[in-house]
Amino acid sequence: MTRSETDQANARLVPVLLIADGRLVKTTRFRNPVYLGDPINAVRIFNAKAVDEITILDISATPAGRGPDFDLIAAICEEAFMPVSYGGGITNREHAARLLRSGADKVIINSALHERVELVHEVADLFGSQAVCASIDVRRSPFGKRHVVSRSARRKQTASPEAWARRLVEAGAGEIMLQDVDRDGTMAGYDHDLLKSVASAVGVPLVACGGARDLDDLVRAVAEDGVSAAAAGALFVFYGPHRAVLINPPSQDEFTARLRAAQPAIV
Amino acid sequence: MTLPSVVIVDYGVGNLRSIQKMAEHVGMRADISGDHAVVAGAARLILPGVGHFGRAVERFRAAGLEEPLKEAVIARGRPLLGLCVGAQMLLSWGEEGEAEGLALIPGRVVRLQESANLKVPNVGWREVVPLRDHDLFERHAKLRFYFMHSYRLEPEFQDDVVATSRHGQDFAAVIGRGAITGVQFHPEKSHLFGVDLFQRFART
Repeated sequence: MTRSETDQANARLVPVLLIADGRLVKTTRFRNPVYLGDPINAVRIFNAKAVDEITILDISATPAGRGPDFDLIAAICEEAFMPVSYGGGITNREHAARLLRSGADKVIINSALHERVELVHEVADLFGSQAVCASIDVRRSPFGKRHVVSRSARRKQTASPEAWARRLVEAGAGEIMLQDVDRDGTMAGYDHDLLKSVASAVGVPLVACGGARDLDDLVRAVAEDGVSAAAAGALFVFYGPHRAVLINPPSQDEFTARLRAAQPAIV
Repeated sequence: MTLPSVVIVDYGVGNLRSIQKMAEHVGMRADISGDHAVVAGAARLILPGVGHFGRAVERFRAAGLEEPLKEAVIARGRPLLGLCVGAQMLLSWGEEGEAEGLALIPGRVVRLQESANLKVPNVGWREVVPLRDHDLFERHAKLRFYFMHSYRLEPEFQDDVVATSRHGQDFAAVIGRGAITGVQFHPEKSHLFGVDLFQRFART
């Protein structure tokens, strides 16, 4: 699939904030959450940095078997002077409706779709496909074969990332978020082969997440792999070899300028 | 020194807290109210709106707010800022629900053009280009705002178009006449650009 240069120049930079039991954390390979601070405070810093969108993922909801923490999300949305996407523990359309009423602009659904993929359609039907992002977590086997996982990477699924992405788009997802479990928090660089392969499998925007190393890596994911949004956690909240906590994403203007300078993907 | 104040008109649609937070952030006293006397006596007003045009105007009228709003805006000349469907409500008629608007600015609200390359709703950050001087914008600034809409503003007179954006064709992103302004986008979700707009609104 080809995209116009305008689409490329409109690509988004998306900080991903992980929440566990109301606290802001950062994981490595979906494990070992490190406490970073207060999520509301982080959102205020992202306001000052003028990021165009933030994603909040509650990583404690599904393992605890509970739904979203609506009060916390409402408090975050009140503070966020930018669109907010939320994921974590969404298992039915009432969850989605309440989140959107609480000020979220988009819901991100993952584990529940492995039980009932129709949930995408039910939410999209009520609120439009732009309000539904379906998320896919990917791991590799010891032999390097990539497969989809769910429930905080505890459960292995049979579908390939590409096939599952296509299935989710058929079900009505307006956007796909691809999370690379093996690279989460490592800052080892995105898996560009994976991004390219999934981006070319679907016609909706793809959000890349997991392993982002630096600005070059983010630009490459858009300019060469064809993703519509470059998301990152560790890259935007850690600084230096000792991973000091410093919320400092590149500015959207800087990112857009780099994208305009990059050669459009040769298709 | 008293703070500049604004009344965010509450007629039971949408989440008004993010608008209030933005107004407070730029130093305004922001009250969310559907009280007729409060609306009629406001120093300045924000008319919010999300969702369906026809249902929004119906609820607004059912709440008895048309007269108090017009008293503030027409009789007393107070500044009014309409946001998204609140901006659409300033016009005379809307295709969505085929309903009469408030007719503060002559014109209609019509569906965005849709095709394989043109998605509706139009969602995301878009450039906004001012066509003339206006209290709420820097004339030559490079502006970006967050949009989420399926219908567009179509004022009858070109003079009422303050700024445009693009979705296949140019459309009115901002309409204005005197102290009445409507913005199709969401300034409360448009960080620095929204803050700048609200700061200017506080000075009107």
